[in-house]
Amino acid sequence: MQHTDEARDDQIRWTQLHQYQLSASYNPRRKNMSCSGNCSSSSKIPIGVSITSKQDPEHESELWCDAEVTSTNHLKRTHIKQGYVDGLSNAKEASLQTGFDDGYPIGAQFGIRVGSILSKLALRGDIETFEAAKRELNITNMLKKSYFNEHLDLPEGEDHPILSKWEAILN
Amino acid sequence: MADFDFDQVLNLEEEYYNEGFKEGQEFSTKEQYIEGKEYGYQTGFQRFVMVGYMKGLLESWRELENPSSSLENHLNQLESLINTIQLTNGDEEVAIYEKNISKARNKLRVIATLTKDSDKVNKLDELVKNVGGSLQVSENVDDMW
Repeated sequence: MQHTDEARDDQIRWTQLHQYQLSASYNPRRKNMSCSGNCSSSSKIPIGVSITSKQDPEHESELWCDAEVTSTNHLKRTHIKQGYVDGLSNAKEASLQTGFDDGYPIGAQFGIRVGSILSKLALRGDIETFEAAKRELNITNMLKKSYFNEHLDLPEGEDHPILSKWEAILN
Repeated sequence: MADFDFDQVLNLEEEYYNEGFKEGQEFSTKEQYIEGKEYGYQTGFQRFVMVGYMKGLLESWRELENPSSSLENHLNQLESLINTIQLTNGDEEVAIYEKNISKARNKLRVIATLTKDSDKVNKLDELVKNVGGSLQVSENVDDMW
């Protein structure tokens, strides 16, 4: 048990470690990060600007009124932004582990099918086919983003094309 | 302006802050979940190529004609070791995985000697590493998660 717990700890630590490495180097989603809320888009042009440029004392009351709106907008923007930034660094703790636990069995199923295909080809002794399978069934190929949707699932009702290809070859 | 209510402004500030906080938290929570899932996929894949390889060999060996009772015995044991391995990442399941995988590997070696397939299992570690990658290696980082 001891040994296993250690192995598991390593695994989790590994996951976390890589998460940080990823954040620093490669993270396409972060690049595309766009604020879906209204923290910055609600009032890019301060409303007050056009009014003050009128320089018309007749519009004084209107000017005051708009200045108030502007300051409220500014207040809103500032606080939503600050909240957003703080929220970003406060992801719910379990999310990484939950994701890991959800992905693990799916990856495991892929791994089993890959191993099974390879062993059967190995027994057949056709080295050329075996090597071709080895290349195609490589993890880098199998886990290509293009096979998965935005939730990292295969499209509904579809099998992994590389696996179905090689299983068909075997049969 | 005469009715300026300071408390109201403070409440508003808090409300805006909380609104932003919630959005930020949701975004990073979702992002962390996806990152976790990526590594779950990878780790699961890497750990179970070996299991699949054993399964495939077992199925093929089951088709051998007139197996000796000794071979059959070994195959049964291998089968029960493999079949009790579960795919989930819970504490108990992982413990069983660790225990069974090492027993199964020994069993595999014994059987492969009997069936003269030793060349198919001798370099299993190398094969698993080649196909599953070592934990951090990825040839094409931009393409793979």
